[in-house]
Amino acid sequence: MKTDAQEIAEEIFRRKQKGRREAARLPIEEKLRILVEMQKRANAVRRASGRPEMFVWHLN
Amino acid sequence: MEQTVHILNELAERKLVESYAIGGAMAAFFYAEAVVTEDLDAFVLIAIPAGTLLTLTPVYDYLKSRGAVEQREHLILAGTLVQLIPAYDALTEEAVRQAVERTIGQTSTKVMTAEHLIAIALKTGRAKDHARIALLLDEADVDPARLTDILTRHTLMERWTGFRKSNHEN
Repeated sequence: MKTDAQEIAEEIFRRKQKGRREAARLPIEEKLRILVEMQKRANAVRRASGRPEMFVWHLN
Repeated sequence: MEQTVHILNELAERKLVESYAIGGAMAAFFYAEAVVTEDLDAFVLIAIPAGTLLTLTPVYDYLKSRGAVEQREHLILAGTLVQLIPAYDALTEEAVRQAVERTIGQTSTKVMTAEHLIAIALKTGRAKDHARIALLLDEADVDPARLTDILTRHTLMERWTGFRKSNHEN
């Protein structure tokens, strides 16, 4: 028998998976905008930890 | 990015390459959610006349004439970091030849199929390749029969069984 916590966790995982599948269906142009944001955020972490920054794409 | 693929298309139009296809993480964008990556892998097929050696120099020279700047093993091409990779085995050659047409903005490009991306990632076998396989299996419309056919012809079934087993165990 599942506990409340297990049921809540399963629901969270189901929602997460639904969200990922919706993200997978975004237009490529939107995914590229997301990529650039992720590159910028990754660089903020890299700067803070003294690692070399990655190249940030310039979308045209 | 649209301008980048526009210039890559010129490589084939000018017969500097036989064809090209986007592979790697960027190709997975066409089938799954966006994940962070730094470069665009462009696999190129180059026809080599008998008795000559493969060289990417004419391709690099052309791209530099179109404004590309070399950065270590990459090119910065119209704002995108591009890694040119010659198709290096039967699997990557097939993946380029069977790539499908997709558009970015108004510009068409060739993208490896999800099944070929999985097969190449399986063959390459790094942790990030396995993560890409898991992502594609979860989010892309993968054709199981087509994937099995590719894995069988390129003798990857044993590796696939191992991957599936370890994935289910984790």
